[in-house]
Amino acid sequence: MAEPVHKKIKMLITIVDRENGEDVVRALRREGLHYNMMLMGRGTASSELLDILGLGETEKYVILSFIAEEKIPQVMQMLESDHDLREAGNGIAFTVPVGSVGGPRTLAFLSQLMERLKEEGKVHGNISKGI
Amino acid sequence: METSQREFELVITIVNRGFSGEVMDAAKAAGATGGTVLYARGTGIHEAEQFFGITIQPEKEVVLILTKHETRNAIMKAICKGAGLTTEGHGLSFSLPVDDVMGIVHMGRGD
Repeated sequence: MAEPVHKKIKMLITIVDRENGEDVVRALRREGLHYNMMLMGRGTASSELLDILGLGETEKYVILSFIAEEKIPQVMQMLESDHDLREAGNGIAFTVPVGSVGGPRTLAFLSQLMERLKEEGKVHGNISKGI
Repeated sequence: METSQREFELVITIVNRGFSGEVMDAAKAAGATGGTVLYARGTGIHEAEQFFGITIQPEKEVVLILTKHETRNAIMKAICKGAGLTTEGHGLSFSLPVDDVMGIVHMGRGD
């Protein structure tokens, strides 16, 4: 492979109310993030803060996804506009840099490289050796 | 953000189950606005106990607190004091750098 294929990936952590979790994951999938893990969590914002923000729900989903760095603005934009994360109390999203990944196939998978190469017809199910 | 330093940090604290309250109390006293608690199972070498021949896995709580860089040290110190390894909660905490943040408009607005 001549072109540089190693793109930085980051972990996208999205914390939203339980009821919105599925919607957010569906939206992330539409953006091409196919590896999302949902953890059940519990919010601990203080009750007076909850009152101010008009929140009752404290059951949360913590969604872990891997995202190629260049996709971050687009996905953040989507989360902001479609899921009202700008509005206080609707959830948060942030990214954490990933230090290392176990193996080239894993990296290719997590950075959505696999799909891209498949779309371009460069690989058929198997990732080529040069990566 | 004018400096190259990251604005936010994610403080992760792992405590024995039932002690996330202590962690949050300490963190809030040091300026945190909220956190998220996950349930987890510890697998450390000294942790699994044989109890009548049955291995008991210790239950843990993982507390995620997203905080401003400036308040991180105070929060981590408070957590160490309130729920650290010397306390019953046996908490340990560490922080990860956070790059892109969305959804904490209320944080740091009033102060």
